[in-house]
Amino acid sequence: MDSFGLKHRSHYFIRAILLCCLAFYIIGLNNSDALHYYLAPHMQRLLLLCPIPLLFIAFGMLWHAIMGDSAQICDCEHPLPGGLLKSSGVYGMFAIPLLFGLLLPDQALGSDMAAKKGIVYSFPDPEFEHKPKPADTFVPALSTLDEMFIPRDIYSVEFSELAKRLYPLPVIQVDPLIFSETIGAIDMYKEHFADKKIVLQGFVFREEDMPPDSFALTRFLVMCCTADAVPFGVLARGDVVSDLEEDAWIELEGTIGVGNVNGEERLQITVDQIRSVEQPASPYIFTHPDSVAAFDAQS
Amino acid sequence: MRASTFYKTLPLFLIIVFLIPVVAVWPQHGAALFAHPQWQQLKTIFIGIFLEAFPFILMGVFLSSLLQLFVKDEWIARWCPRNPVIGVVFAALLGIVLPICECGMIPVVRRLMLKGLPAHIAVTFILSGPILNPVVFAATMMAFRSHSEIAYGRMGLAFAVAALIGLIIYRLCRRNPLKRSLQEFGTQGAGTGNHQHPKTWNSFFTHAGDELFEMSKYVVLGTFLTAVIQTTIPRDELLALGNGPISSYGLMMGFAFVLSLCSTSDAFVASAFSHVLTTGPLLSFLVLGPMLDFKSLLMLFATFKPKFVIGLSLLIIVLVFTGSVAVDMIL
Repeated sequence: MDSFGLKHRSHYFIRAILLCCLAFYIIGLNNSDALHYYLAPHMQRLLLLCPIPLLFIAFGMLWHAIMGDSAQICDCEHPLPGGLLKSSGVYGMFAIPLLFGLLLPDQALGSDMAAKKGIVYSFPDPEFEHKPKPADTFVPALSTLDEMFIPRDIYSVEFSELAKRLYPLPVIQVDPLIFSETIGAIDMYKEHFADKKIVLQGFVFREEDMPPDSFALTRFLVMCCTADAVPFGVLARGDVVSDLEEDAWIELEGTIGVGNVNGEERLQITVDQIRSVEQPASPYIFTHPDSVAAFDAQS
Repeated sequence: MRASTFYKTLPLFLIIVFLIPVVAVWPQHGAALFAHPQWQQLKTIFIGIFLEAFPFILMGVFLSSLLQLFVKDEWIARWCPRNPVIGVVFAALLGIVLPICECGMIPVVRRLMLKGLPAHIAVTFILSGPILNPVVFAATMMAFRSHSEIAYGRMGLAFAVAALIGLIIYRLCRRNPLKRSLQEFGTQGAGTGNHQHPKTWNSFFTHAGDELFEMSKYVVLGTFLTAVIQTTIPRDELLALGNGPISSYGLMMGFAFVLSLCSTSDAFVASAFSHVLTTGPLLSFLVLGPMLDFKSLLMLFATFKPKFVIGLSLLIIVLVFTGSVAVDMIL
């Protein structure tokens, strides 16, 4: 074996080990139920397709390093990194995510990050209120659900269907699976949902300029991964809330009403009761492809 | 570097590599050492983006590997439209049938270019592919439920900018913009022909792995910088920089650049701004982000000559800016 071959073999050996580590890191994350700290469910499924091909690549490289004859070992197309500095740069780069992953515990984003990202109080379309509302013209004396919850366009059919199902409930239990859709539906028809009872879970977050008797019950809404996580808050108000600590996970029981944030009408819950709870196994919330079907399946 | 020097330093690498499993079986102590909230957030965002991008990069390098082994160079030449306008329009609409995001796209396009795909078609596809596809259209429509003009505007502007840049490249860029090192390896393989790689499964996987390492160093760097910015600079402070009519465009474009979001999820993030901004700045965010961000810029540098990347970036910024200002005026 000439020295040229040995150098290349060792490069491939290191690569194979790094790829193995990455594959096992992904498998480990999945086994310890920690993937949801980073990715939305549909992205998790995609990621879980990766470890097997990765191990195949690692095996191919290992084979190449041990068994490959010198004719096969060449660096055409993909030059191997040159000097010590370059090699450690390339492999160090690859090792950074692994080191981060293993050195720090898996932890959900909290109120510190909510402050940095800027909290959102309503589902995607905050300008909804400024649009003409067909429902407004005949608000009094509505009898059937279909008349109360008229979708404003084809994109809000899902919310109006969900609202029709939520309205008859004596107490609305917000299911974390369809958290953002439930709040979105209630927010869209908040005039009808006024004075209804609601129970929901989240962590306590206070904006800097908030009065002491109010806070935002917050969940991070993740579309694909933590980079696009949006702190999704519901305004809550009550006498007993001033001693709540930031980041504390609570279950809130209250009455739906309308409040005011920076001059805009927002859904606001008047607190009846607060219980502290453990942080749920899956602290983030995700958008659901069909919240109505999910609701029907639950009940 | 001489081979003998390399052997002397080799044990150093092995220590680093074997350190990883050691740390893996020692999680509790390690965890306590670094459990500072800032580090913690950095990790959560960094690993989040990395794991999100990884399946697409892996898919990209596998596709590229398949192309390398099974697609002949002559096929590309025969299949490519001769007319530049038809070619550019075709490339801009290719994303409709091939919805790959930018992470998976660059390895594939790079491979196609080595096999003779013209630069104007390749660049048009890189720019329009991540936006002009059904998945992104549906996501944008969902995020801006009652403002469908934003979704249509996004598609239209992306098409216009990508096609225009493709035509400009066709006119101005006569030389191959691929990095010189890549070009040399391309001609070396095709020209002499005395060195054929065997088409085995082993070489397929090895090839994919080599490309994976080459790409991931850029992705990791881009992802890391993005995570650092997201965890250190509050959004409000960024917003405060741009409250004028023109500066809000600059702000949103800069924001798109540093966030490096996936094009399917950025519409929702943009909708959080819709009560403070008009259509124009929102569009500039939605169109610039998938075309140019930290992650993809570094991947572009891995593919094209630095001069070409800088020129391309400036062109994208100028065109997206003028385009979104124009759309804002029309709507």
